[in-house]
Amino acid sequence: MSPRALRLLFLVSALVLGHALVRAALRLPPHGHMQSPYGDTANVVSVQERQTTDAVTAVIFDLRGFDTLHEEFILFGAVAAVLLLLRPSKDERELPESREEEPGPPRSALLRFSARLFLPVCFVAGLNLICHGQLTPGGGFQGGVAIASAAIVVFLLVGLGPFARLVPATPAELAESLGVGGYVLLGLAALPFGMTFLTNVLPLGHAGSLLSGGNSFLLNLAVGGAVAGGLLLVAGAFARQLLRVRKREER
Amino acid sequence: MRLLEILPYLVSGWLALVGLYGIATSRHLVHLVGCVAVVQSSTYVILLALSFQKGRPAPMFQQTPPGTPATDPVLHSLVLTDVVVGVTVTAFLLALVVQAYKRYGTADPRAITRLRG
Repeated sequence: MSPRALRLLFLVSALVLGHALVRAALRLPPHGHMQSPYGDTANVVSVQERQTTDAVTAVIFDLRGFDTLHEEFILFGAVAAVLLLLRPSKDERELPESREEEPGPPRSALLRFSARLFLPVCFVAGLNLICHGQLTPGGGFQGGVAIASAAIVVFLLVGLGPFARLVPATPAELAESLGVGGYVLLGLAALPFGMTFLTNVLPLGHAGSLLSGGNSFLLNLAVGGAVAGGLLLVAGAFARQLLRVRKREER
Repeated sequence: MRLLEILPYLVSGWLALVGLYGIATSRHLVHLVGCVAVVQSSTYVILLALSFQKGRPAPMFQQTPPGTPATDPVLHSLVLTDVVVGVTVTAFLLALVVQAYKRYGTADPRAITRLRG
């Protein structure tokens, strides 16, 4: 199909879809006047019953914790798929670490020094986000991304080789597996007590203190480890693919 | 005016259509993956637009006293998990692009019309 015909076909289809979208949007309440009884209930329940001052974390890990388990498994599956796809294939080989070829010029001393300063700060900030998920905006997902970004900043400021060496596969795999498996095990921990899967087994505590919210503290740690480990594994796989995987004919 | 009242929903619809246009007429696989991310962000926009309620603070009760009406936390939680999971799905699509480029020697989706092992 020629590009013009393709554009014309798309325009016709987009007009039909756009018409449906505009008709649907016209039937929605005006922006800012939405009624959400479930949201209002969740706000009340999360502080009074679940002792969590961050209602969003209470919804993610407590009121709808089962859905978050599914989201974590989507993440786990996508990471596994990336690791499978970026292995050296039959007609490729992986260079040893001493012979890896770095694309691009080396970074300046100032950039490398800034990476040394930034890396621990960002790592601790990520841990802070994870541990205070039930108190303030944050939680496992955001903190895990912050920790992974700490390592990816090393790639930006220092180079691909040091980044690949900073994220060895084993700790990242361990963090990810413990995160995903730990979520399931914590959910199963309620079963011997005769309660349903993912019921709070830890004490609920007082709203506003660090150890509050029942399961959500440990679930935050588990998801933080899973997200950080998963993103580091993915980034490391891309880095190794660039640095070390070459076709067998090349010398 | 009615259209101004529903403007955020229209913005989300526009983003979705622009992203779909990019996917349909893309000439490079990485650009195509970026357009998939644009369509994903259109869903974030509409979820966040639906959660906003005039005059209400965020659903965090560290500073605001518990019991004050706040915005909907359920839609916030959907966007939160979606963003992170969307990042890993985009990474998976990019890994597919890398392998497709190595197999076909080109990153033009119009040239990749047949499966090759």
